Amino acid sequence: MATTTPHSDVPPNKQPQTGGTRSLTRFAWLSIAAAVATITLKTAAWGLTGSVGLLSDALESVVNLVAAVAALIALHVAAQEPDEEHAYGHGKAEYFASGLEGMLVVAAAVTIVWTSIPRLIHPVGIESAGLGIMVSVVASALNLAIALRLFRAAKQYRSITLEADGKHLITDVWTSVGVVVGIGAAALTGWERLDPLIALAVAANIVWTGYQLMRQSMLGLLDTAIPADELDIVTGILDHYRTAEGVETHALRTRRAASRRFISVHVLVPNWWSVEHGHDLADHIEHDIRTALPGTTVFTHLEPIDDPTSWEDVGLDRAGDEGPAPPVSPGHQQASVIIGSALHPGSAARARCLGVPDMGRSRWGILSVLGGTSTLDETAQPDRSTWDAPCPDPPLVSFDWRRQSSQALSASRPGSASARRSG
Amino acid sequence: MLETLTVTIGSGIAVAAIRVSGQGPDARHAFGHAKAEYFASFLDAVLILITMILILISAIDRLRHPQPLENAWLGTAIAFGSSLFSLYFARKLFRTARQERSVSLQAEARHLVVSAVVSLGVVTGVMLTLLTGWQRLDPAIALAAGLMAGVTGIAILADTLQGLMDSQIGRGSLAAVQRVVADDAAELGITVLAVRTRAAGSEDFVEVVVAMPDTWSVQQARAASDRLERDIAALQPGRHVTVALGGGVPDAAPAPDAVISR
Repeated sequence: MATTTPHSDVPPNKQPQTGGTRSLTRFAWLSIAAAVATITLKTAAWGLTGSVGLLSDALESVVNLVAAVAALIALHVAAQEPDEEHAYGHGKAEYFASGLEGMLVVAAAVTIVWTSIPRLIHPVGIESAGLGIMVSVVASALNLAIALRLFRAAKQYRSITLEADGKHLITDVWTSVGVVVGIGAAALTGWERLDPLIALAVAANIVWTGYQLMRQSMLGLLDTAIPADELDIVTGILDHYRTAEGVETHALRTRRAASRRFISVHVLVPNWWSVEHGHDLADHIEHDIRTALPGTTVFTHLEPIDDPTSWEDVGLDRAGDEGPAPPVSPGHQQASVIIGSALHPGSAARARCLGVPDMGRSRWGILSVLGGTSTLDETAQPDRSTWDAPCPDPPLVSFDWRRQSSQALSASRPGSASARRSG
Repeated sequence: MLETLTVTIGSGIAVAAIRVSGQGPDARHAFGHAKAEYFASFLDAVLILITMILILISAIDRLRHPQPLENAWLGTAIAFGSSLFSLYFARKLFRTARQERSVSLQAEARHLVVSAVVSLGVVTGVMLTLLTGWQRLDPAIALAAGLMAGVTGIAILADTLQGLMDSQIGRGSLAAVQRVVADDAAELGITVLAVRTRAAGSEDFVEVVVAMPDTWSVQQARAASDRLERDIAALQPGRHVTVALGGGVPDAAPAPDAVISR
């Protein structure tokens, strides 16, 4: 609901951190420029020396160009706004480029192994170093600089495509380092097998990089959850609302599309809350999550906390798959008095202490709270550790819960929707 | 021969993908694993494209250097038989794929059809070559079959990438969802702000953002959204529906019976 709610302060696609998605293509252009420069350099060196090794080097750099163009296309597509066909945006396109980079990196490693093994079996004398090595070192330095820039941008904009392109360039650097070290070591020790051995070690490292890239891309495409540290931030925010507002949350589900996160959660609030009030709270939760994690689309589903069916729909298929929902009987919760919701800091147990009868049909108003207890039919309630916590003592005071709650909300979040409304 | 091998590999991967996709949600994949099927259809597309390249290379080579056919009749008979079998099997697969709405089975069926068409192309090419004596006819027909395989491969690839991009559900299903949403919204007295859908292999996800009257209780709102969710989910198995409250409508009419009597 985040994208459509009238209260959202900043539309998610205008968030500062991801707002630059369109300009991410400039990094792809940087990578293309680097590939063209390397190809030119190596081709020129080949023209000067006629060394076949340099020509094949230049051809390998063409792979970098292909990868950079793929990154450019993917970043361009990913920057498109959500449209009719893609209501969740186009962020997943980034994984196509990063997956391709992974495949290209593995292919590069395979060619290294392919050329190294014959030389391991039948060692050949090291060709004259010199210009070839020089050119390769210069190209690697260029690639390294570009890769470091890409890594920085990837981190800043959380772009897996840029990260993958950077890793691809780094594998080129490793290859060159391997060549230089291999030739040097072979020349120093006089053991010619050292050169292909080092090349094989480099290849193993590159295969690992490529495998990681492909794995990450596939997991991203498979709607894998957001990283644990980000998930902790979300649960921290939800915990805050559980203790401060006496609501419950469950069925937290997260997934990512490259830089954009999607979070869906059920928020359980006292039955008699009004739609307006429930929506205000949901807005606050969404706002907090979006502020803590920019570029997040939050989707909240409101449920009445005292309705047992609310607790039965944690699964992806909601109540449908988890067997028949337990009967909703007002009798399973008996209150000695009618009490209302007071939003003083407490725990989730407040819901039990406060809310009791099934008030779904009554028009709520100002509820006088006389204090009281409730007994619960434990079998009718799913397991909830907080549910059995003792009620606060002294219990409750008389209040206009609507004013109270909006004050409580405004107090906790200045400048929020409720504050604007009441002001 | 090569083509059969790729079909076998594709089938193995399809089986694995269907297994993974049936795993249901877990801690790291709260939305389930249904998208795993796309990886199998992606591989099918890649295998078909590789086949196409191999066919094109050999066809062009034989176009430039025609060779007389050897042992043609036995090979032709075998190819003809196997392609008929492939077509029969593909038909069954297509039906199963439609029933289960399985992306990977559908790709596999298309792969089988490609394989059959390539075989039939070879048969036709050999027979026409033997009849007319024009040796370039065989590779020319192989070239056409290879291009056709390429078109199918690219089509499967495009479908796969679209599926992985959180694309909308099919137009027909979407229209049905929108009808139900409109009917329910009118009956329940709520306003629909947005309907978002995305397909994930044999499953799909529908999110409806609604505005309800400010004065309704959450219990009433829940009754209304439950009703909406049930009605949308009933349209198709494997559909996950969530209704979110996107706003309140001030000073609206009291809740209709449909909401009050759950």
